[in-house]
Amino acid sequence: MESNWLWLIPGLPFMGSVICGALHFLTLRARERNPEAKGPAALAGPIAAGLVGLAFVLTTVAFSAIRGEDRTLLQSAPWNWIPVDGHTVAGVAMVVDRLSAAMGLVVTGVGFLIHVYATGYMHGDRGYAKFFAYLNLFVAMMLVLILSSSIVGTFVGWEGVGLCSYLLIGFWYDKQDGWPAEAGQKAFIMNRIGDASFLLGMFLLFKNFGAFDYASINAAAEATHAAGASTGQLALAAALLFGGACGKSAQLPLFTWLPDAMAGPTPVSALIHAATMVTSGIYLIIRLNPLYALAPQVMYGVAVVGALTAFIAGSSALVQRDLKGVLAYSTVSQLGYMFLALGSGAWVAALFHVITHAFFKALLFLGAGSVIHGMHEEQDMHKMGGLRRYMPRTFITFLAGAGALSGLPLLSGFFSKDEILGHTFALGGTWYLLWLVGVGTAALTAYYTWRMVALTFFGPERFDAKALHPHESPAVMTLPLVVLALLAVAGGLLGLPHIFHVPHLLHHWLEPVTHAGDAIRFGEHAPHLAAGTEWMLLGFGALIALYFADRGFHAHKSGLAADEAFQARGGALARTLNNAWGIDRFYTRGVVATVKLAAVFIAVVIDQLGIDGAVNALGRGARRTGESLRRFADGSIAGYGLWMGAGAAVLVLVLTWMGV
Amino acid sequence: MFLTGDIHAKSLGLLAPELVLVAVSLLILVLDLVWKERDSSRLGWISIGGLALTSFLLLLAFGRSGGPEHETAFALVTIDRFGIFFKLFTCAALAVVIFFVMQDRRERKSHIGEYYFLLLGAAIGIFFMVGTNNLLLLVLGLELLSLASYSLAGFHKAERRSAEAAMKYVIFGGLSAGVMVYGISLLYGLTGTLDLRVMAGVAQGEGVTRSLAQAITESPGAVAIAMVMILGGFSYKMSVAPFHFWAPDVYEGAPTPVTTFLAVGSKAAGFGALLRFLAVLFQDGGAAEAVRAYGLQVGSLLALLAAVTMTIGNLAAMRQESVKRMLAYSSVAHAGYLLVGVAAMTSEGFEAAMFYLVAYYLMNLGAFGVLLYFSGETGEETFDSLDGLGYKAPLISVAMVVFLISLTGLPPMIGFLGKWKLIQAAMDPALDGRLLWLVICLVLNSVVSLYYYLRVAKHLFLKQPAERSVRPAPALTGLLVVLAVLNVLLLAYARPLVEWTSASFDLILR
Repeated sequence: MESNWLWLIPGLPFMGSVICGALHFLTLRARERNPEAKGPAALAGPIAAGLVGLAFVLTTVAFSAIRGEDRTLLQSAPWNWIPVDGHTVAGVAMVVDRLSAAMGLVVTGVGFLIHVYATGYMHGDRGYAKFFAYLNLFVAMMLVLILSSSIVGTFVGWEGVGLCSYLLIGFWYDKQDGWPAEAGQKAFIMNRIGDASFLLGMFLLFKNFGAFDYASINAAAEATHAAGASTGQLALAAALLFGGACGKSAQLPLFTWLPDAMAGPTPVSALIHAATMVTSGIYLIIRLNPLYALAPQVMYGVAVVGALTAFIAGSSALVQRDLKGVLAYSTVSQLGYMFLALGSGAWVAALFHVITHAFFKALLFLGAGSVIHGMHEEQDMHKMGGLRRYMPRTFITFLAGAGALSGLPLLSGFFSKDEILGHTFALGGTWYLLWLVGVGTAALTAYYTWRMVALTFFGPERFDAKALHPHESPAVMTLPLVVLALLAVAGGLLGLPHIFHVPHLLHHWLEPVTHAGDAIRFGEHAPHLAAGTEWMLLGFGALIALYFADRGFHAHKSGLAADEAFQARGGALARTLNNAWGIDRFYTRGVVATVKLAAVFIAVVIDQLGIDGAVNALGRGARRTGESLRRFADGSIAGYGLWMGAGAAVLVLVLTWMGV
Repeated sequence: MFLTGDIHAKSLGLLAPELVLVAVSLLILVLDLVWKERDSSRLGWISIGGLALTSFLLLLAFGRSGGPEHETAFALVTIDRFGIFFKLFTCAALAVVIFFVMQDRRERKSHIGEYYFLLLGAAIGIFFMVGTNNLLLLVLGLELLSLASYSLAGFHKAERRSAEAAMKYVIFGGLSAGVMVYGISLLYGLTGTLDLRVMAGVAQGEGVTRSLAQAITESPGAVAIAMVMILGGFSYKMSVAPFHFWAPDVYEGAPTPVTTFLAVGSKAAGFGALLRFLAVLFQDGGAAEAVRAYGLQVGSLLALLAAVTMTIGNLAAMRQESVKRMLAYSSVAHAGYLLVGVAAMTSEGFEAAMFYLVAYYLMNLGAFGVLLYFSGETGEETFDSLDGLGYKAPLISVAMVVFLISLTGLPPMIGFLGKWKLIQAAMDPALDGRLLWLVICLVLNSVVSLYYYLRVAKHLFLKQPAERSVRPAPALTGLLVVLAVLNVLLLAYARPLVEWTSASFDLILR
């Protein structure tokens, strides 16, 4: 049975985007007449939030329809996008299955909360309606990405969210010396590199399987495995698609755009650059899990990239002064965890971390936004301190998020991170090394998280309270914080370790999606940890988190002394960490400068001198000939007649000559 | 020739479209005398109505015909889809031209009935010209078309330019017609028949003294002279070099609607007659091998003409100061492009040329319509007179850009598909790459044409907005927008059009 109403799920936010866009233009027109006019822009916030809320309701309906064992997916009629000789090659349908339902709930649910928050945060901005037009378009595109039945549809969403990300990072393109504009471009270009890889992977898959839709691709992957056929090209396709995921999900070597993406308004950072868009790479790999399972070497690569990214970004977060900078590097680092999970074949753990991360990171970003809002656009933690007295609600909820991020026992992040590390540990061999990197990153995470909390909310006030008047944010902003805080605390219930002797809800839920990949990767014997080992790992993780959280908090709760001491002593190390191990600088100086040089060479030498020169010379020649031809047509009848006669004579000669 | 009454009636029935056209043109003449109106569009609408009725009858006939055997009226007029295609084309072109006359703000509207009468008369000439396998009737049709065209070119007889144009046209027309008739008489002398199918040896006829195959082997010189002379006559109508000299002067001097008619209707008629002449004579599956081989030689000759024509047209168009004269040279260049399809001497090539004519109709009528509007407003036809007018008349100017891009042959306009099909035909594997050089020449010429076409857009949009204001012309604008939309739409949904042109080429046994 076809459920065409599924199109409404991305359709509603899309409609909202169109409406908000129209409102923006109406407002602009009103402002043309009177620069102070308000116009209808204020309507945009409620409309946008309401439509995303409706999409959430619809997703919930779809979600509850596939709860049973007998029915695990809903599908709309396909839209025959690119017919070739009457065959559907790239049909796109909307599908809600176990995986897309989970992702869809996160996107629309968290998205709704962030929309509500943004109605407060963006209040009074000149581009209020425009902001919601973009934000709604983002949600629509993200839903297309998730719900599409085929990788082509996903690619459309993939590009759409990339576009919205670009538009929203650069939303304040005229502020802060153009940093947002440049950051937007950086994000776009980095993503394009990944997208090129995605496209190649997609077409390589099509070449091998002759299909774009996930069901066929995954079935073909299973068949390949069953037949024991060669997987060389498929491994390459998987690697190329992972390249695309590296761009979108900010992994090495393409992660440098994400810290700069913080130039966008904070709700954008929370929604796009923490909770949803950046997890689409993880979604893609889970969706194609049979394909990846066919190529263990690629999976190992994924795990290595994930672990390294997690560590590099986590260490860089240690020394950031910008509140959102810490969160940005933290996001990159957490995404690294997710890829580590995917690499070790723990699809469920990866999605679990996607979900908990969406809760607590959105919470932290919104909390940070609340702080920044209350501090009148101040983002430097060195100019904060002691804010818990001014913003109690933000403070409490922020603590919940920080606890979850740092993996304090029993909070959501604790369970999801533990599951990932447990899976890595269980694989043994060289995976122990990756596990060690993971544990090290967990320590870093706990430290920088509580350093951030200490610097922001504790210690002496490093600003002029009388001049600045820090204030708590309005209820539309703090209410979403409260909801997210509850989720961040309780989210772990979705996937309690089986040593607790309760069902792992998410594992059970995703079974229809992931069993094929599990079967291919591990066969009958999935690696399994003894209950004792698992208890030990769990306890060890808790200890690490608690110890480093404590260290981070106490070193910084009294002020900047620890930071300053480190900057003074650390020297080169401090600089390296601050610049994310110099990777960004290497790109700017090494890659960008070289490309620019090549561009200048091509523009000036090849294009202007070579091609233009040749074309201009030809053009001059043509014009001169034209000029003489024009004089030729002098209007004299006798002259014309002569040419006609001569021409005819030549033609006769040619024709007879050809006959000979 | 003995004809019974039955055959008379049947033949007259087959000629119904022509008869309707004759009746309407006479009606116009009478009504003009009775009404004595100077500024009435009633006569124009009646003409257009007559054309619509004719088209309807033609469409009916199109549906009836299509088999390998064609009906003939009075053993002279062949009723085949090919002819009907060009007759419909003529009606469509003429309807727009008559609409242009009604919209022409520089037209003083005296003797307006004669204007329409002459246009319809020209159409009747075209009908016979494209609808016969008999060279005598072909010449008669061509002469009827020419006579009407001479008068039309000089319709504004008080204007020096117009009068001069008519004079030149008459002289060259007379010269070319004489040459052509001489060539035909040579062929008649060699073979003893005027019927192309008989000449080609695919049908029986009376009085045949020698087959064309024989003539080619026995007296190649005479056949060559005859061929060149006949092709010269066609070339003159199509404004193909070196018989194109009249075109720029006449196009520039004639009233713009007449120029439009000459550039679209008259040129298409020339091509229709040429295609029939070549296809029936050289391409029929039943023709002798020597004849078909000779056809390939004629094709090579046409390839040469195509290259020379498009190059001369494009290069000369670059340095014009008058938009109208530029369009005249551009129409010479397009005749060269069209010949590329003809030179391939394959059915695909001929179909490509026919398709290109439809594209040419859509883009050239549009361009001339825009010129008509702006020259009506400014009283001039120079590039400079268009400066900045794009902002005063945005809709019509954007439409103009569409036509220009289509004329250049760039996507997403139908001109692109037209050129594509010509190139496709010229690159047919059966031709063994013999026309590759011509394709390269065509592509390079298209690049050159971009320069002067976009000059119009540059003057419209990139120059300082003009001080003067222009009066709106809703009806004309509407028609031009429709044409512009068709330029885009028929690229997107080209299949019916492609299939229709393909179905219309039913001259020969393949």
